[in-house]
Amino acid sequence: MRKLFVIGLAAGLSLLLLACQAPAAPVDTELSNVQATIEQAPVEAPTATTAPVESPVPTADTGQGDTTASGDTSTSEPDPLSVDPARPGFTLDGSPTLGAADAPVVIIDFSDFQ
Amino acid sequence: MLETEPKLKETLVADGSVRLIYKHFPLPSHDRADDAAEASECAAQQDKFWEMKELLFEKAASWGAAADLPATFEQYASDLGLDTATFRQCYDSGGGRQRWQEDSALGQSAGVTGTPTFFIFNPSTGQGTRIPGFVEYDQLAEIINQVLTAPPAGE
Repeated sequence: MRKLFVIGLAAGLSLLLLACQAPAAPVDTELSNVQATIEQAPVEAPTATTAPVESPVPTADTGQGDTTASGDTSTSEPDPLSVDPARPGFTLDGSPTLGAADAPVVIIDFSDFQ
Repeated sequence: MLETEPKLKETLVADGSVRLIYKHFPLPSHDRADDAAEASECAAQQDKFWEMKELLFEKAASWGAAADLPATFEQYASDLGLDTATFRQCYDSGGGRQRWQEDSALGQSAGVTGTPTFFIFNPSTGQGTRIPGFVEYDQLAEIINQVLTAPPAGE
């Protein structure tokens, strides 16, 4: 048993020595790996629900939507959360909105005043 | 969000990174939340929603205990420079009711159960998350960054 332990220890030390002699990964490669890890991480927050969610507002009525030549259901109806060009400061479905129409992130705040 | 929103407006909304959308979800347990939603929608009809929202939060204790609620809201409308006759006509006739009731129904269908609840998403990727409850600015900014950098759904 002791002999087996010594053999295992020697093998482990040999592997460790080989690893130390291997060339270090370039810094940019390491950064890329970190970035990839971050990008693959699910969106979550300590107080957030863990499951990613979609917009609570359906973007189109697919049941009545146009059909393309390929048979796909079109989503040509405008997104109701888009800024109403005829009424800046409001979405197409009439909600008050603040910020750039093309902002890459949209926050919908369901709230009341009490 | 009460403390977070002003900072959010000054930073990520101002620089074009974020767009805010407000949707009403008056809780039944908040006995005057319906009335406040109505008042804010009537202010929205005169393009003063955000100003009325801020005032309603600031004076929540005051109007929450007001004996004459319509008159109190009318005074707020006056303070904001609204046409008070138009505001009052809207308020008394329930001119904003359909809007906030639609919002409330939408929230229920989306699984909202309390206020505030935030949906934060990237329209171009479909990625997002839901946050029930108040959130500090730093935490919100981190979540926004995560939503921004998350790959499109399905990848």
